[in-house]
Amino acid sequence: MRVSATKRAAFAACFLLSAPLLAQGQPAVSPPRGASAAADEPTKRSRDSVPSASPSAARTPGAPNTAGTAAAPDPVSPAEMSGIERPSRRGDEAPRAIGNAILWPFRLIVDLVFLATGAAGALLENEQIVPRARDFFFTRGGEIGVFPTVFLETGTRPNIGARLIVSVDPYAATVRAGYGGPDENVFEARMRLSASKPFPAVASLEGLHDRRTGLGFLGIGQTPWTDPRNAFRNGPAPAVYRERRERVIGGLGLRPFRDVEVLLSSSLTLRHADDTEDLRAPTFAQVFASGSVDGPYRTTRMVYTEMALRVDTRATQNGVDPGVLVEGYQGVGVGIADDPTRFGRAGFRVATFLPFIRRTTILSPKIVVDGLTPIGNTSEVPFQELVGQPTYRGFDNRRDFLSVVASLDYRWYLSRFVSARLFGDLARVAPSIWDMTLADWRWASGFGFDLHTSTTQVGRVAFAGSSEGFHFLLAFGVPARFGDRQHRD
Amino acid sequence: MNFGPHSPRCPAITAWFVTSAIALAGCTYRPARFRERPPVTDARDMAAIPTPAFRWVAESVYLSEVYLHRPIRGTLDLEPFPTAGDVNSIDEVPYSSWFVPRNVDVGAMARGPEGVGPPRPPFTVLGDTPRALASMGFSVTDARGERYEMVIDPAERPEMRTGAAAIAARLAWALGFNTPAAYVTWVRPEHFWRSEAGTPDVPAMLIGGAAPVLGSFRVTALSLPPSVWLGHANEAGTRVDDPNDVVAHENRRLLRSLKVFASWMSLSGLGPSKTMDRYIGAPQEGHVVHFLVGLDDALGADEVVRVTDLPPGEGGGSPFVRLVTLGLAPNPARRPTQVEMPALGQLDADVDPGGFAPSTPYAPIERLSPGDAYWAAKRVAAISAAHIALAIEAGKISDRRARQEMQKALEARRERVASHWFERVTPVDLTKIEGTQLTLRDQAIHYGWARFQTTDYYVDFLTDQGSQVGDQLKVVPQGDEFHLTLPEAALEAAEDYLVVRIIARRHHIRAPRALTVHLRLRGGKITLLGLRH
Repeated sequence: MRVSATKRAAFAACFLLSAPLLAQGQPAVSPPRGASAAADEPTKRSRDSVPSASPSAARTPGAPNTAGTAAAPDPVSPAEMSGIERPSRRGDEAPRAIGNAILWPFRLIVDLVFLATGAAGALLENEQIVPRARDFFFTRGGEIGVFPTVFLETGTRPNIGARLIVSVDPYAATVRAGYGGPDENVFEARMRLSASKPFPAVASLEGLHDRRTGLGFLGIGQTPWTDPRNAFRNGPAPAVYRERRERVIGGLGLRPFRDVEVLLSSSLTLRHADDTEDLRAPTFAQVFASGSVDGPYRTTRMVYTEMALRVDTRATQNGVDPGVLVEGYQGVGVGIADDPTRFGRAGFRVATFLPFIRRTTILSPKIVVDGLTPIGNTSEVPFQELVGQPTYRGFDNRRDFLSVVASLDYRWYLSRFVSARLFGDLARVAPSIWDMTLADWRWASGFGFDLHTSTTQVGRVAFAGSSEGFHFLLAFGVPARFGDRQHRD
Repeated sequence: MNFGPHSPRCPAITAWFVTSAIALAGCTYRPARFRERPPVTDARDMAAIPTPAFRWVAESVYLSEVYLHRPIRGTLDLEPFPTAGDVNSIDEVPYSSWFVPRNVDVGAMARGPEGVGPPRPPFTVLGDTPRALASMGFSVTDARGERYEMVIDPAERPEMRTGAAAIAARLAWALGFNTPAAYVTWVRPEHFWRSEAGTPDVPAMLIGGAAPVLGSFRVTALSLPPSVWLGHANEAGTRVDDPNDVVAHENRRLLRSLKVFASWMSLSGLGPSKTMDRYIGAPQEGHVVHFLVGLDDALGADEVVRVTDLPPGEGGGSPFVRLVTLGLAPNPARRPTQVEMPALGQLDADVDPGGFAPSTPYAPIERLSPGDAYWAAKRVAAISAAHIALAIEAGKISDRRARQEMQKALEARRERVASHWFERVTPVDLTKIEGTQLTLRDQAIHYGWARFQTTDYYVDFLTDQGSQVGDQLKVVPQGDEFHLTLPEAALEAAEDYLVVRIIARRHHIRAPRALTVHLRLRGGKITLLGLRH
């Protein structure tokens, strides 16, 4: 017997004695008269007040529920409550059962993918680089869990992994791990410490190890096959390689004003690119003349330090709010331990979000410019550090010293938290600003759907046609923010 | 694989047999069989439990669940939604921590739920965020130490939200929900003092709201029993640390029926935020009670359109229409809400009961079955004009015209909502069993929403295996009640088990669903085992 059972029994007895005086009515729909051979008489106790176990509630003419639970019986299960001993059977059950059995594995996968999304939410909020002041109060402390991440894109291997998160304000930590074989694995840990006074700030420390394989390098330039800087051995072809990467990033983010973020970060990155184990894949040595590409077959060690400034006047990042976004950054990469790498990076992004006809139909022109320049005459720039085009929604497979991506997006409200998007991108890379001609621009255009919360985007699906084929993207999670360039490569 | 000499044909033969078996199975219908025992009238879900943990779901998680997980999984699941799990054998929802099947007479309606009474000044302002309110408010304790949450009116609509909170709470209470006791009262700024820094500046809030009358501001104070706030009731599944919570919330008829109740009361914002779980009782001795809250959004108080409001930002039509029109379809501004009666919100007499839906998907109401809706519609229909008038009286609205308009609108909406769902079933209830005669009442005729002159019923008698017993009967009623005498063949079958299937026809059009009454004959007496709409 439970400890409190005696008290409850006594209380129940007292209550039952007084109940007839207190009863004010019967259930609105009683069993039909004459059917009482099977039906209980409705209980005589009052149904007039909120069921309460509080002793203080005894002063009301209510029904302290302990009267009915003195023996602490188990709650009535749905099967018991329905009174049905054998459910009805309809004709279409057999084929439906067979169909359902066939679909069971798919349902299981869906359930697993969304398993423990309660913890995902905490992380999604935590991944904002510098939360606005009110965001500090959004996530309640003490969250821990494991949840999935999903990223699918044409031309890349599906990235489905798991994340462990611990979030006890103001501290948060995540660990991510995925394994797809000796050459396809990742382990990442992030720690974050936030403060709200005197203004919102975040200090973070991150570590990453990953191995990827099946990566491709076409050479540099917008049209690598005709670019004279590429020394192909047997004609133009993509070199396929694998890469091992270790990286540590320390960062500090400040929000001195409501719409302004300042981000300082520094990273130490080790990379090693070599041939894949697929003997049929063309290797660097087979595609390019020896020594013509910096980076492969050696370990590069580099410290990269960057400062970024971001001004975003949109009320939220949910996609259908008007405003202006301006971002700029500058950084320096320096090789260590005899690594000759030495370069400077700079870039900016300008985007406007203009109401078009309606407040929730947003036309958004955007331009993204990234540049890189070697520092000193003897410096080298590993091919992986050359400027890529991650914002281009076609295939991100061009690298050079300068990149321009111009976009025009049209987004409109579909329903609360869901918006649709039509987009078109033009992209070009070039060795310098003087070579940025109007010829050979690549294009991609398509449509997609965005899922967002009231403050930020959490998922997107996009379909795009491009000058190089069809492109599909599915991402669940907060997209990488600008200023967060350390995570781009 | 070797199937013997005829092996090449064996898979084909097997497939043929399987297909035939499926096809034969597809031709059969077998009714449910009820146990021979009284209906459950108490869900017994209030046993003492340890205090469950506070539960909070991030917005992003909720959205990914309702917009991604649930639709994808639903597409991959061919099973129909299960029937409600909190329904007993006579198609009723029994007493539980969610629902109290009150039979509220006019006296009870006038008194309302028991509580600690109106707050008594002076008030101590608390830093706690009000949880039972959908709009601006604050929490206080009164001179006796009783805790209240107070809602105030917007400046341009005096008495609207405070009235809606009190009236809707009384109506929801009469429907069977647990709601906070609501008291309309008058306070003065000097009644409040702030216990600590960071608490709301109540005098400023009062001054920013509706104008005072003789220096006093009108508020509605909501009182909850002493209890621990556990968060909202999750929209799907159960509360894992509450062993009393055994019915998945999306399968609770009460939550499914919120669509019916909310469409009647014009309650916007349906979702988990309209629920509140509280642990009532001493630690280890209490249990969870589930409340309906946020009722200051009801009676159109959240739908008021001001002259100064911007036209709708989004394109017109459904999400699909918006998709194909790129969000540019016309969406004219709604007509501003009348201003002659500021106490009355956007409460139209007309309502679309089937199309009523919240802006964000809510799993329980998506599973509303015709049987669930009929049960809810009966409860709405049972709220008489007198009950409505008494509920409005609880709102203490000073404008007589507003009270009258509210009464008219609620009565018209009651008819629209209830008759809509009555048409989705055979709205007949068993009222009496005498000997071998059943007395049944057509609720649609009873409430005057259908005419007996244009109604008849087809009655079939089935065994528990679905076999027809005797001939089909046609019954022509002479009023809202009709009698059905069981024929000899049916009585013979009833020795084991008898299912009486009744389907109504109006203007020669059959109702979409039949009423099934499950009976057994024992010692010459008919016993009701169960019924389903």
